[in-house]
Amino acid sequence: MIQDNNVHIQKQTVLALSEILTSLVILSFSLFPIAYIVSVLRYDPKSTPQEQSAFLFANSVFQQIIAKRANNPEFLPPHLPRTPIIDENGNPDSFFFSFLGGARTDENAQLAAASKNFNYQLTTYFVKKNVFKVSIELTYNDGEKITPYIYEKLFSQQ
Amino acid sequence: MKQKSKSYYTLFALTLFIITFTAWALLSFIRKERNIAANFAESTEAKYAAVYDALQSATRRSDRALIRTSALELRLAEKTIAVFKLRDSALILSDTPIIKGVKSFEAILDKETKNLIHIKLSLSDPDPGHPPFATSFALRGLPL
Repeated sequence: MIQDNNVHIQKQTVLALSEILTSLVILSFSLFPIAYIVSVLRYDPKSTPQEQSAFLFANSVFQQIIAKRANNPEFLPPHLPRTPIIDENGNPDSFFFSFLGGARTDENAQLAAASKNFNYQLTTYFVKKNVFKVSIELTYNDGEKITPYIYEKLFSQQ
Repeated sequence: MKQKSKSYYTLFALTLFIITFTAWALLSFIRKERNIAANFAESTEAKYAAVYDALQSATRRSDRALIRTSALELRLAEKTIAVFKLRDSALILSDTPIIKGVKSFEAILDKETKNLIHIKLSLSDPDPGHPPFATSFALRGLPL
């Protein structure tokens, strides 16, 4: 009788343990999507100051094209070879720095210093009839490696 | 029977844990989104992104700009749709601070095109290596 009881208790314990193990398996599976959500939420891509500057420069060029085309629908952006934004003598490129409004303040000097290692190249080509693409390639040379940042925008020819 | 109820308690505790964890994840997500919306962003990158988005959204809808000292008013068909101004070291858009800790905000209307605004903004305490925010936005006058 006592032996029967012991066997019964052992069976119960095994059953309880298997239930706990099953629940742990379910839990581990259910934790996976939660962990995935947390990892997605925590994903915080840090862009470098150079990348941000390149993005703002490219946006500035695209907006200038939009503004000029609003005034003159025939306007097409020029084809420009690779040119340094700040040349060897420290002079800023006139096309690129037209967005500074001409005045050279201390902050413009800061901006000029940050743009020192940038080169830019502007390419315009027709994708199909009435549609052209403007591509701007900015390359940042930090002395060790050259990092390219390429931005493209489609424009419709009216 | 007792053992079985114990395992149910375990399952209950685990379910409760999952629910609490999910709620925490959701709440932190909402809080993060709210923070971005209210622009209490800390990093220079986040601040620049907030200013860029606000200016892009407003300039796309505007056909005219009025520029005053440290203030930019954007209009569509003579109706003011956005005002960016610097007040107490914060860039304000429609009475709500977009970003805090701003040293200077400058808007210049392009002399040649008249529909392009050059924006320059510098922060009091930018992260190292960041130049002032400088870019341009074209006015397009798209309807609201």
